[in-house]
Amino acid sequence: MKSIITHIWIVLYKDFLLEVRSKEIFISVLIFTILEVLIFNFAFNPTTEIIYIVVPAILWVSITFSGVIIINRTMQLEMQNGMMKALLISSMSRESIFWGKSFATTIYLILIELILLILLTIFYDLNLPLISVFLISLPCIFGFSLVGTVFSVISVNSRAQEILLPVLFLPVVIPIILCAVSITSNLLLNLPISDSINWLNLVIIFDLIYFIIGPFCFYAITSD
Amino acid sequence: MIDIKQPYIQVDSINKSFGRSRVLHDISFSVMQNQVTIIRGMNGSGKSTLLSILSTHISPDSGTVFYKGVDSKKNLHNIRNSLGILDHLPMLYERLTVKENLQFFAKVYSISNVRDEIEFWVDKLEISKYLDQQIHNLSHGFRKRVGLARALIHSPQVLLLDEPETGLDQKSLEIFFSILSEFVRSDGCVVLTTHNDFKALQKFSQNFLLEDNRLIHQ
Repeated sequence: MKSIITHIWIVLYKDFLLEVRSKEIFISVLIFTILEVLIFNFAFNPTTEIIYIVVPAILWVSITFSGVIIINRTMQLEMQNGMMKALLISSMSRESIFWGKSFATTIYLILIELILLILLTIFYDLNLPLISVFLISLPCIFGFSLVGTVFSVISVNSRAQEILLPVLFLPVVIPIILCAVSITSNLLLNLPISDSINWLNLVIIFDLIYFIIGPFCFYAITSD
Repeated sequence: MIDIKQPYIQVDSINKSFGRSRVLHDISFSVMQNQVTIIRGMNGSGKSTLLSILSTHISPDSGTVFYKGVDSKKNLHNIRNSLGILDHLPMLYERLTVKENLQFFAKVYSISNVRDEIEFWVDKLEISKYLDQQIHNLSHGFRKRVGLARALIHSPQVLLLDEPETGLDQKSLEIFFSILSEFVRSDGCVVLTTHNDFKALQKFSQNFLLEDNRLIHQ
């Protein structure tokens, strides 16, 4: 168990070190996110009637598309110079690679979400319950990352990887996104948390399923 | 305790096809300690596939690879710990420095004295002054040297080398041969694929030719 945790930390630390050096993921996703919010801001007249419908959608559409870029990129890093092969034939367990990658994606997405929440607050002059929205989105982002890591390892080996990942991944992750939009919308409308409990339970069930089958799928895909 | 007469690696009738294309047919050989096994063959003859099977990266369709008499499928963790691999690709992160790459792999293999091991191998491979250079700034030859340091950092018992001499200058080749000779003398065994003669390793070596999907002893 100790070695798995150490290996997860090694993969995570290495991913951040690579990102600090290259800034490839963060800069591109940041620009993409700002543009998205800006375009939506021009597209909709942010009146109070529609703002509570539109903002959760903008938030989660942005997280979804940014997530696809992040997931693709983090796995591509391992495909350069035969790194994935080096990891797979090392004594590191495949579960460690899976968890390391999933946690790295989760952390990137949390950072992007924080930036998005700040941008949405500024652009739409919202009084967002920032802490509640942030906390409630954590299980959604975690589930999103687990599914994304499984599908990224499938798509990254194909020639049409940029197309294949969203095509395979988005239909599977759509329940999480729908739940996340509903929960965020309820929070914006100041509805009690009990109104969102069913959605939240659904996300947790989804997370649990991928928490269990994610590493197995990753192992199966990377074997031979 | 290892029986000195027992082969370190025993390859037993392995076959491998990709789709309809048969790559390896009934390949059997054994590798003893203190021995270099040189496999020659034309491009596309299946040398790299054979090394991939030995490295446990891919499985044969049939047949078995035994490490110290144990089926490679049954003791993957320990077998992988005992292998050092240098592929066509250097298996290094471009944006990390030489030191960071070696630290990463030392930690992957749970080495306790990371600092000493890195110091030892960078001195031996004469790459000390490039320790803080990122890999993408290094020439092909130096990448290969760093790749060899990566393959050796966890003190493996077996080295699997896929055309290791490609792109190396005379100086790098000398260092490479001296390290290989030392490795073999200290009870290691090496399996390498090449197009060259490797006269420097002749006294330790057994030679095979991979032709028409079959392995021929030379």
